[in-house]
Amino acid sequence: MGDTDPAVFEGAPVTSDGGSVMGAGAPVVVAGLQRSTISVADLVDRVRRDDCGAVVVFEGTTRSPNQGHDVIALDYEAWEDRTPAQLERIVAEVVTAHGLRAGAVVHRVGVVPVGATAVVVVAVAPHRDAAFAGARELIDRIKAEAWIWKKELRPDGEIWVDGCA
Amino acid sequence: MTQVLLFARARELAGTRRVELSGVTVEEVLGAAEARFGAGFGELCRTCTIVVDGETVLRSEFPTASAGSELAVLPPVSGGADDPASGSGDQHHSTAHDAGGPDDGIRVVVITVSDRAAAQQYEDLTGPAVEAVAEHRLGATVIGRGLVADVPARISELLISWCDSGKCDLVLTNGGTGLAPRDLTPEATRAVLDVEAPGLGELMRHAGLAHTPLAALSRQAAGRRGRSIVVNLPGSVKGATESLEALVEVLPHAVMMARTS
Repeated sequence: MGDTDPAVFEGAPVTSDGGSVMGAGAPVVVAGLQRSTISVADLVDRVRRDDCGAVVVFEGTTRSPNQGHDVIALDYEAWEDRTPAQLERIVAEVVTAHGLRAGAVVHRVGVVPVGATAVVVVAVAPHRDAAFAGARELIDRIKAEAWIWKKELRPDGEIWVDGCA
Repeated sequence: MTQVLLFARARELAGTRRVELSGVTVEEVLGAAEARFGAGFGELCRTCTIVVDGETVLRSEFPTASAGSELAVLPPVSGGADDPASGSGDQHHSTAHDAGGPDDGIRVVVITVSDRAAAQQYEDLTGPAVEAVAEHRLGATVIGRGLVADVPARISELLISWCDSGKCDLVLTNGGTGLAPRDLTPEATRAVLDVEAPGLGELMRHAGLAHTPLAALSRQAAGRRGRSIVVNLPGSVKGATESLEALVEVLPHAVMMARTS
């Protein structure tokens, strides 16, 4: 996390202007939770760089049916005091591991209707190989590690979805 | 009193997001929670990650919960089981990079045994070094870590809780393998093993002798409990990492055999 600018995250929603560091120096790390719709275009604008030729964006969208059950919406819950710092650490580690020049993750909390974007990751690198690999690791690690829980709201009730479900 | 934070299903079962409970150890605090919120809550707790003041801890760990501590109960996260139907090879999310381990990566727990490190009188350097070797040389995923004083009963208890959890394939301890009066990790280990694997200790000592005759004084034990392999490593960074290196070729096979036991 040493090379990142704490002003960028602090758990603040990324739509707020966190004063991103776009100089040629340290890689940019953006991480946060957000209650409102995520604007992918705004997020990409915050992390794209002139010295990079590759931006890979992954959007995770809410799906229905899931495992044979109709789903109306997903309700995401996070540890709002600590999950943002955890996301920030994961992004910083992936940025370092893949030599990215910028990495970002924004995850929705609260109720997200089916078909909407629940999570966005962005990996920015000079070349596409690192950007694809970085984006893949970002989303895999966030899904496996981040303290974010989801509950499916179904026509016939609600159910928490575990990793072991 | 300990501030207990509850999330997701734990929050719903308890009907509250935050509760003050008494208890000195994690076990006691969670016991008080179970008494208050019922057996279903207690059962869920056993699948949860417990974080005390920002540090992930084991239930059986003794330090906690000084007055005013914050203990968070975190149910398993949703991640990864995304698409069981599609069978997309999404099951393992090792943070390590491909390092040629077996297909089902080895899930490892690293336990540092040290009075001084447990008392926070010095920083544990050996645990992280062992983790690095396990990740890079065994392709293992570190799924847990612990820090315990040189107290045999506590060491045994930790080994039992990990081996019987079904979550880990390999438990690597470091420390407490010498000849000082409190060096009793091998005894605490043997006490809980189903079967010993003395060849692992012999292999480590044989490799160590190439560096120093003092390797003859190391007493590491190893063996299997349930479906987990347990290996004692020495306490020094050098001794621990060299000893683990000596086992790199045989541990994946040991793990495979333990899984089928």
